[in-house]
Amino acid sequence: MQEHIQAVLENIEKVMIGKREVAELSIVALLTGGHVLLEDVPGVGKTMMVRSLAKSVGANFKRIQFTPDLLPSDVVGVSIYNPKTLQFEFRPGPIVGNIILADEINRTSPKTQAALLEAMEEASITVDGETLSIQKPFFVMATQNPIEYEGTYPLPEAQLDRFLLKIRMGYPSVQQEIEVLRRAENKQPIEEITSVMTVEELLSLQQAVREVYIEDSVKGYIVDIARATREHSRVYLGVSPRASVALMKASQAYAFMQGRDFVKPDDVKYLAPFVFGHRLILAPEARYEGVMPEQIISQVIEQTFVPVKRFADS
Amino acid sequence: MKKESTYYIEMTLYYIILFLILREWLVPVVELTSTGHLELLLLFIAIAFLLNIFEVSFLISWVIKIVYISWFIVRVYTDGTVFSGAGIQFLVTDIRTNIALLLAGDWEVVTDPFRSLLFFVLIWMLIYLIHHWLTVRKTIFYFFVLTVFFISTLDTFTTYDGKAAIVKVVLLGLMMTALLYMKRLITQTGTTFAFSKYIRYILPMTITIVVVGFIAVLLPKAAPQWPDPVPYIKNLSGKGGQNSMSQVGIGEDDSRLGGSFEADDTVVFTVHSPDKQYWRIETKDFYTSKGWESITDGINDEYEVLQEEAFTSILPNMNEEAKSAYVYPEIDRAYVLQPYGIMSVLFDEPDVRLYQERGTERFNTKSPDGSNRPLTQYEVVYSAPEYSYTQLKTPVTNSELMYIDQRYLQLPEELPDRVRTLAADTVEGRKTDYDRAKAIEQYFKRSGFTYETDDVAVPAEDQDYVDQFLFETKRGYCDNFSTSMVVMLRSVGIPARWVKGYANGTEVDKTDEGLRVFEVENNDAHSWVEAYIDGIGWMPFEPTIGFVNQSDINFDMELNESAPEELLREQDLERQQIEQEVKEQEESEKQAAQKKRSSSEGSGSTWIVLIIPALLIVLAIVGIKTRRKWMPKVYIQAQRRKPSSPSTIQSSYKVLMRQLGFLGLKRKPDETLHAFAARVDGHFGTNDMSKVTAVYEKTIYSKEKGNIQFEEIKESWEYLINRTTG
Repeated sequence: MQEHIQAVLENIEKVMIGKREVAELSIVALLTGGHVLLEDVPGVGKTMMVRSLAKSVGANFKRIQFTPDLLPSDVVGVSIYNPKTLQFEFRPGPIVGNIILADEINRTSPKTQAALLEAMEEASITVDGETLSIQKPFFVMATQNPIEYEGTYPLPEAQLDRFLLKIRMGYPSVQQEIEVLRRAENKQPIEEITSVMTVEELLSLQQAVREVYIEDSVKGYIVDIARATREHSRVYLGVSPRASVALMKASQAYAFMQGRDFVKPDDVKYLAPFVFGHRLILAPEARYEGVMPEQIISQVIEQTFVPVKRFADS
Repeated sequence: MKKESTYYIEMTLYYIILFLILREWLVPVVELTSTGHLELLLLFIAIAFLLNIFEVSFLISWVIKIVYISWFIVRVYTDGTVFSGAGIQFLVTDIRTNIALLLAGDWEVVTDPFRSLLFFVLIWMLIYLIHHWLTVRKTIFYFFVLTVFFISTLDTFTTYDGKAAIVKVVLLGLMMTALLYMKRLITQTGTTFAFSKYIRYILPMTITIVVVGFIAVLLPKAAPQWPDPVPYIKNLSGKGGQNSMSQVGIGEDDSRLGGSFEADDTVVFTVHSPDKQYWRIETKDFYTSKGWESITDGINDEYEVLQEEAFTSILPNMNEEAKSAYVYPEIDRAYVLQPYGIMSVLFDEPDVRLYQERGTERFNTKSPDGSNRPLTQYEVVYSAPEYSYTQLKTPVTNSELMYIDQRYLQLPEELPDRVRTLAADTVEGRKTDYDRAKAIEQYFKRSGFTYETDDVAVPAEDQDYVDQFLFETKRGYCDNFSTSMVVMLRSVGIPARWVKGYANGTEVDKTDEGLRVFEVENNDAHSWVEAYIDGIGWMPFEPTIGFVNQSDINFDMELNESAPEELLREQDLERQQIEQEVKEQEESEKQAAQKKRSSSEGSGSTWIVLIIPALLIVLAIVGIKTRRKWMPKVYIQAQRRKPSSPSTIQSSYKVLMRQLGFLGLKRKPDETLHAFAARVDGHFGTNDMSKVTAVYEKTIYSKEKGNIQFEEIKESWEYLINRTTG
């Protein structure tokens, strides 16, 4: 089954240069059934990333460009009076799809953000008292500009919690950027890639990921890290148990991608900054000093003992 | 900057220990230089330390110290006019004159107050240095070593007894070192300690040091390798007398007797002699209560004698024909061995002159320019004196004692009375000097004395050498016995002197002319007694247990018809006794010779008993030290025999981790096995550790652990294990 994942990765690599890690993490979220928040400055390829992923999976791809004047109905859909049937008919918005790119979500009003995030959490939309569930797979990849930018509405913590991973794209290296330019001379490679995985296959992979074994000692490791964030002196609010669950699921997916049927502490260690990073609220003074949540998490990991025994043995 | 109270407690503790160590510096200095006022000096140190603890500002602390020093000097050297104008004037003038003296280079004549001042400055500097070591370097090790060195040097080269001081200093120093080590650790790691916790660390440390110190004090200690390095060093530097004399054998300096006696079987002379006899070198007459000196002034000058007229106060026996003995020195010695009754010292070397020391009766050979000139061989002509038993047993009517020099009756004033009492008791009821001398000689053989060369006591500063031997130790070698006998003889009014020389040596051969060949070793160096028997003359006595040197006594009592029955019986008894002694002596010599021959085999078995456990211990230590070399091989063999199961993988992985630990490759607690394996592989340039680790991870993190085979990784594992041993 891993060959499908490999094929998707290869597809993305055709489009994106030097972004394998981001691609892998996106797939982790996709396999887990979680959503991804891509944070970075415009123009580093966030949209291209999502498009190539969607195209590889052969899923229904929708894109919502968030603007300050976007209304919730523009996201979830609207009921329109049909003169023929004399009834209101529901026209689903772009949120109803398989893979959704929510571009620049922090540029829209909190009301619209809430609509999106509710849909993400519930995997359903409610309009005029009617609830419509969204078909699986449902995968939102939101991008946001760094919050320091003007004209942004920062996402509240409770809503950030809806995202499984927060990933930074980062700038390409010199070599990679030259390669980007070279490719830009020709036809966009995104047009050339084809679907390498069906939606059914994706669903069965998601099922397989849920079956990846995680030893109790490794679960304990996750809990240790989570608890340590709550006790850290520079953290105002540590991660929630929901975050621990998210880390566990992501670790399963990552282990699965590595071709293993069990989770190692390495998986947890690797994913912890991506899963916990956006769920920590730093103490104000730490924020003023410019400390990144990821730094806190690395500190925490450094101080947490890795389990090297079965839970029953220890 | 506010300091916590624990800081002050800590510093106070350090300074108390340092104070006690520093005290051990002052005590000997004060004792040896008779400076006095130890308490006031210590008070100065205490004040200086207090100022340091509370970090009093420079100015105040200087003023306090200077005031104290001035106060001390004025108080001690003037009549208590503390800080009157006179006192200050005294100080100022004293300093001014002394600085002038120093500038003029007259170091010798500076006054005592100024010396005290300099001493204070020295202490001040030392305190400053200690403060620096303590607060900046946080190590007091140099000071510790310096102190030990200082005290042991004083103990060795002066009369100061540093036995207790050294124990104290070592204990305190260890304590201080440990405390400061802990302090350094605390600062390095940045941990802070609650005071109660601090105590919890100090307590076991203190107990350990005290217990170890206590055990060390109680343990038996080996005798020093060098009885006393001072004469040895003097010898090395050539001051100790002609040529290099060993610590055994005949040394020049007998002023401090005692201590162990180290065997040295260097042959000093070979003698071809018709008789087995003692060889005299010199006599000493002045007992210092620690040892022997000779009264040098005026008496101990030398004068030249003719080869044919080499007489001593032991006159030859004119009734017998003179005999010749031939001496072949193996080691250059500029003195002549004298047989009893010596008449001539004959040698061929024309430019050698023969001198005799008046006080000691020693014969020296010298070049015309006065330097010592050892002979390569010489002949001594002698006729051993013979003493008439009848005469010895007859009380004198005309005492000759008035002609005998008083120096042979000298005794130190501080000689304890119990020595005199003992001597008087021993000779009680004896009629003649001979009887008295004999009684004292025999006293040592009866009264529980033992002959011992190892671990012989040295008298303490206020102790008499003889008194210590007679009443306390009762163990020793010839010097103890002979000195004691001389002192006892003198205390009952018999003139006596202490004789140095060699005992008869070992008979090894016979020459063609029928002379007996004796080898005289340094071990045969000996001391005995000569007593002046009134009416007869000087006569040798041998108090040392195990040695026999019988004067030729003519048992002529039978010739005297008027001799009472009683005396005749006594004569028989004495003759038998002498015969008995000689027989015993010969017996023991024979045994000794036999023992010497078989010593190589005999000692072998005892050595083995010691060597085997020692070897086992060494082997065990080597085994433990090199365990990372050989243990893996054992593991590999053991692993091959074990059934393959996940637990095998776990145990073998553990072994591997331990082996890697020896190379410094240790997994950090936050390091995952995978990351650790990558590190190890990076170190070895392989990928085997990752392979092994991947399998091991399966056994601990995956769901099923039953179906994993050790065989998969066996090769990699063995490879890694072997790598760790290299």
